[in-house]
Amino acid sequence: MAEAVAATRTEEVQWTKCPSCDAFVYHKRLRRNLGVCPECNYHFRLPVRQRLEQLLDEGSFEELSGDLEPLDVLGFADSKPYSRRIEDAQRKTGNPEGVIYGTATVEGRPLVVAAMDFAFIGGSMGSAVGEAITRAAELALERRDPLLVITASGGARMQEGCVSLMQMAKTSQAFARLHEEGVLVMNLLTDPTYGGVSASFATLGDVLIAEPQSYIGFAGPKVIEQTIRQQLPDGFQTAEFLLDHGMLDLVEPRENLPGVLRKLVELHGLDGGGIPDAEAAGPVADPDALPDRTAWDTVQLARNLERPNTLEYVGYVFDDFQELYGDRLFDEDAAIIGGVGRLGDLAVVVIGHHKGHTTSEMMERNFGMPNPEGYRKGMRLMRHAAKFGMPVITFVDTPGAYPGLGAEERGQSIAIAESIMLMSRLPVPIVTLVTGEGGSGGALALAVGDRVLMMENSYYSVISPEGCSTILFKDAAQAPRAAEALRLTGRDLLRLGIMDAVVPEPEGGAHTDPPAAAEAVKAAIVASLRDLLGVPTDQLLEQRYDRFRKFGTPGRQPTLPPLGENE
Amino acid sequence: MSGTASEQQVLEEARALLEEGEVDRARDAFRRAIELRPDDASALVDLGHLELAAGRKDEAVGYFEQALEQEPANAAALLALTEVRRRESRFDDALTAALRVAESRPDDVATALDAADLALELGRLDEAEAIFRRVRTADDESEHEVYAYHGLIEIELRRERWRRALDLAVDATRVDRLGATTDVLAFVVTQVFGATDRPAPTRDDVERLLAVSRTEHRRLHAGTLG
Repeated sequence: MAEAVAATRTEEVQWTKCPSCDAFVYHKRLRRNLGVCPECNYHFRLPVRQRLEQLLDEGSFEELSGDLEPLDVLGFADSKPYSRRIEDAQRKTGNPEGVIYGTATVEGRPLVVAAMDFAFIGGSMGSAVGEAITRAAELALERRDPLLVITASGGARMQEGCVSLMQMAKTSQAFARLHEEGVLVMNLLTDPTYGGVSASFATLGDVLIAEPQSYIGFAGPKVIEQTIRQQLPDGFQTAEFLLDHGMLDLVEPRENLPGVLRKLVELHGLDGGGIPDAEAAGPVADPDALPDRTAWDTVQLARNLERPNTLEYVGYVFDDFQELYGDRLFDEDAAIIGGVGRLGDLAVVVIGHHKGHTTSEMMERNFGMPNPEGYRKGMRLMRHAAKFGMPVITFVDTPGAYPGLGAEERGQSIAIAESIMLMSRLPVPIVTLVTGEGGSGGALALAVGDRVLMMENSYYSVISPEGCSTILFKDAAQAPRAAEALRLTGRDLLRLGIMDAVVPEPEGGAHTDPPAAAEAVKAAIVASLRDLLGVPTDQLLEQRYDRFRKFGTPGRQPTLPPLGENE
Repeated sequence: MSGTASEQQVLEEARALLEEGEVDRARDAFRRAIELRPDDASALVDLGHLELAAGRKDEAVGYFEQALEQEPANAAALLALTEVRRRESRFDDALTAALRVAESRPDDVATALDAADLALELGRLDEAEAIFRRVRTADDESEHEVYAYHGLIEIELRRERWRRALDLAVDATRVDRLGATTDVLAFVVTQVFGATDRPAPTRDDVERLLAVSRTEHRRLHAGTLG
């Protein structure tokens, strides 16, 4: 009896050594800390049901995957038969397959959820995994509920041969239907997500979230090293690496995940109802009602480093905001920010150039000069808006698109052109506000709106005054003169029909009273949205077409008298 | 084995505090519990861990050893001692403790890998080989098979038994989905047959690669909560 007790007790090891920092962590503390090492924040891999417990409303998960079991379609055997490998995995995990799916709620809002179990044959995707993911997607479509898919996988399951490979197509086509039908898909990529899973449903969501230090990729790093015969950089294929390269929307610590999911589900589940009243006066459409200020003074004010920037306006104007990152192609460009925001009961997509106030911020944001990746991130978010019927609000504040070697190599012109074209046909209302510098094509790429507004002390121009001065006046010192000649102020641009209205600023400029400036911005956005919401899409697109069709058209384009003459 | 209600209460309090991360208060509570019940191996291990976390290594070792006096096969105490001795570079003692845990927990791959690491560090290749052979059986993930092969290759490399290393490298290549064995095979082929027309990696490169393989294998097991 004494021996039996001793044997039992020795098995009760209540301390786990963290593989990252080697500290011993008490099991219950680790569990309470959501499986994250309290010493070094290493995120342990979680059993699938523990994962669901952390993310979903307590007791809300109703499992529907009970009848799904792997198919041994090839009668495969390696060092042991596949059928025995399945039995071993079932015994080890207590689950019939490497995935479970069902319905649940997050903060009371329903969703369909599927979660993979890495402990089941390395989370590999066989026929039953593909079937579960597909059924989950089809159920989400039928109910029009958001779908959350949590992945952890080494890739396709070799033991099921090409049938496993076909799960990539099967799941992807199911996800395509969700996109066609405007159903929200969120992917949570956990450590590790690789191969046929990362190259299909794991990365096809509207929002891709990963845990810190998760490894995510297509080919394993060793395969790559062997192929290219080069050492890979530190952090290669970590979630942070992918975020930096524009492949993920968010990397969130485990403790933040429930909140992020709740916010995303809420923002995408708004009924599009009332938008709030704004306290400030609306924008000004009469050029003569605007203060008289020289063009050069306006340019200087527009460039004032203390002016509120896009994220500050977003913080003032919107009731909630979730920033999303990356172009899903090459890079995360901090010169353009974007995400989903809430204005009353209306969800909107916000996209804007972003500078900073300090030198280090400006450098991080590339002085608000986007690379192609910034525009491609913007376009990705515009398509997101179109999918969910969300109006788009753009904030413009850039000296211009970045004139760099890499930018040209990666198609700066193409990115700008495509953004302009995409906006011209985007089937949702678009409100654009130039908040500072409206520098040429780099500004226009975010400014093909149904309503185009500018702040009183901003400017919008085909070229910077300095550039124009150098080229046309052969003297950089003639910039003030060039600024006047370019007619780049709100007053002139209203007369030219380029602007629909100008947002008044506090005396001395927006930077002297940012909250008051933001209130005026909010009033302008709200007023514009009130005009545009409810306009049938065909009519909206036709009006937008006509708005830009008229520029330079004889008989429709207003002209200004030469400088010095009475206007 | 069960203590009085008050002893149990103190222990429960200590563990609740530990769960909440109230480390200092938990330590005091465990000390009180051990005063009441000095033969509770599990409480001794918990207190040992708290002392270790506070940097009081000698006190920690004292508690782990007391726990082992009460329960000679106490895996938690042995695991802790393995780590303490490893940090002190007392690899012999660490290996002794690790082998005792591995014996009592034959399916625990992470523990076996810790023991294999120590055996390799000490150059006790026969023991390391025995562990890697056990790991091949215990680790039923098909994609992990290559890691055990890498361990066995590392041993043959050290023994400079190149033909055995070659056999193992060929077998490892068959199960290596990640392509991590290619350089190992190239190196071993060079040792057996002389220079080839493919630039072969150096021995240092290969040893580094095999060490990384061991680390990854451990991470795959130790990084997962059961």
